[in-house]
Amino acid sequence: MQLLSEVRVEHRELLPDAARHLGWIGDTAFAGCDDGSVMALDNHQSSLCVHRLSDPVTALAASGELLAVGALDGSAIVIARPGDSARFDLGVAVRGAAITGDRAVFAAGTDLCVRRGAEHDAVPLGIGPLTALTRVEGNLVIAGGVKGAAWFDVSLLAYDGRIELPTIIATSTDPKRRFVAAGDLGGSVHVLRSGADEASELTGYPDRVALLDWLATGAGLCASADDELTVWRATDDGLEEPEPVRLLGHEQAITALAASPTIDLVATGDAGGNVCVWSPLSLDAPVAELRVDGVVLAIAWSRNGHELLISASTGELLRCAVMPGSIA
Amino acid sequence: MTNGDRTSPRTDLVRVTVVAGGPESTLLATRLATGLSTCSTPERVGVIAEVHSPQPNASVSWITVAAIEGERTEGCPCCRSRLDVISSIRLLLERPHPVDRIVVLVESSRDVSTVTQTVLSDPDLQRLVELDAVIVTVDAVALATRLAVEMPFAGALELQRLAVADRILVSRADELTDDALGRVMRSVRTVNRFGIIAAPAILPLDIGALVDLHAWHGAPMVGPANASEPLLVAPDDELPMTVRCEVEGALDSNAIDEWFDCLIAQHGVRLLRLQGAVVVVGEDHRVCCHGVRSYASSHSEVEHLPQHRSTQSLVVVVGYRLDAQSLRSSFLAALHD
Repeated sequence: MQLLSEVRVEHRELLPDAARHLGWIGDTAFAGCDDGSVMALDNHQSSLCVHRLSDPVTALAASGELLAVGALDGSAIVIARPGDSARFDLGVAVRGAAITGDRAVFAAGTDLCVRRGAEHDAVPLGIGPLTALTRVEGNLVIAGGVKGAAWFDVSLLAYDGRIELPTIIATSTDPKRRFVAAGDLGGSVHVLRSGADEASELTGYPDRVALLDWLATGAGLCASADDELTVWRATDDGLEEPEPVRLLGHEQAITALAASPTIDLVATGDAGGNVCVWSPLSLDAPVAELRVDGVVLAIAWSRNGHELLISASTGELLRCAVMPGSIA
Repeated sequence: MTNGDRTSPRTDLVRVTVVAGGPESTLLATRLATGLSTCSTPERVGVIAEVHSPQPNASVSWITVAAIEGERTEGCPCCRSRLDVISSIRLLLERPHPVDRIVVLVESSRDVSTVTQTVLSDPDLQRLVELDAVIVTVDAVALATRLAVEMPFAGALELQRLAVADRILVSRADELTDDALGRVMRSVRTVNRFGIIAAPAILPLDIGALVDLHAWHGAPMVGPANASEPLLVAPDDELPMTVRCEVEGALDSNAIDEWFDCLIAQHGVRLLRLQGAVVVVGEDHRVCCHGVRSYASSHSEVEHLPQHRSTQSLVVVVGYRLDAQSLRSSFLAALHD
């Protein structure tokens, strides 16, 4: 079992505007800002604007060598590597982005837009205006919309399942590929099995569940609504009900949440600038904390779980080293 | 009161003005934002709209959230409107140089109640903004024409926004005869019993008459002057109605809580607006309440300036198919013995 002993700020950077969307490709961190700029931050170097969209960035996904970014006005760009980018217009606000292999996928309006090189396909998902998008595995993604959720194979451009649910606003895939969790506008989490047409519902949240993520081992699901943070333990049969563990540490609304991709740690940030790192299966209190000025807008772990990227409403971007520890 | 109780004053909240109506509302929102950003004490103003700014102005942060084609049939515009309002307000305020004031422009095809309920009830917005007022525009010429054929209002959405408006600006009033304008004004008053109705084409309005109204914060102004006989007569389920409940004296805490709970439980989906201030036994100051649909919250009148305080208990309820007699009698029954 590993518990965190320290989160150390290695680098601070003042971006041209607040960044709500973060991602990593290798050692390079990317930030999508409210002024439309897409910033790249190499290891401990000053940030560099790699592209500028014409409206606030509303979605960003990074994986492999691909970076996909979408904006409020529907403009979008896929960057394969420096100097190799394709910009296009989706016509309506981009609400989600995902990468599957060599394809960039965007949720825009009621359509899922799949971009591969210069090829472009747009498919209506039939779940109303889309609100969330996550890669499940391989070429499979799941999109959330105001009428439910739909699995979609982006290589076949075909549905793999669809389920009617209340308005979904966040989705997250279990690393063991057993489940997808979806948070809704009314304050519930729906746990779906891939391709299945039914879901179990976890209720009791004080407001919409906009932030949720699975622990790296798939042993639990963290979800937050307002200032409440919970973790549901998971088995192959589903989530252990009826009560989740409540994690106590935030006094203001939680505004960012991200689980480490390598160990069972979760980082959360709130509207008061408090950042907590949790080992939620072991302790219901933070194992490390730090503060930033302003509202914490986004958090992203590096692929190896050694670094944490934190952005705040002041435009500040923190790159932190994570030093795992052990129980004293 | 059911939810959202607040005890301490908030002075750091950015005020939100909701502007709704026909095509003239876009012009109003533009002028309002431009006027506030260029006046003697200029403010940074943000506008949230489905359309692009007709007069781009570098001093106004205009956020366009375009409508989605096919949405009417494929999705739920109410949920999308709610999400758009939340994300847009956060976008204007959670950044290095936030705006000082926000104008939300609601298209005629959108439901104003969804926007007001979201601004009042969403936890993210509760820590950021305060709903200042709802300003609605109506085209006098179009309304007069429809009155002539006894179909005065364009539909339920227009009725709803008129019913909850704090200011109603009747445009093109100078193009009507006095008689026709009188009929227009009285028909609007039939639907809205407490807002101020103005005709700027005849009597120009200062921008100060439209902002910093705190209209959703204390007890609404509902005077005898607004209690004119309705011009329009229609079945109760077609026109929104306003029920005014008032009493002198302190109310029993449990009884008034129960009254609010019953009101929301029985009328929740039909409530367009709930607002008032009540004297409660054991409280030093009146308790102010406001709500939309099934959402309601309260705060102490200690937040208000002394000249705005009173010893009267007054609650105004706007909605469809309200049982006025029953609401008033049960409100009176909450009086402390």
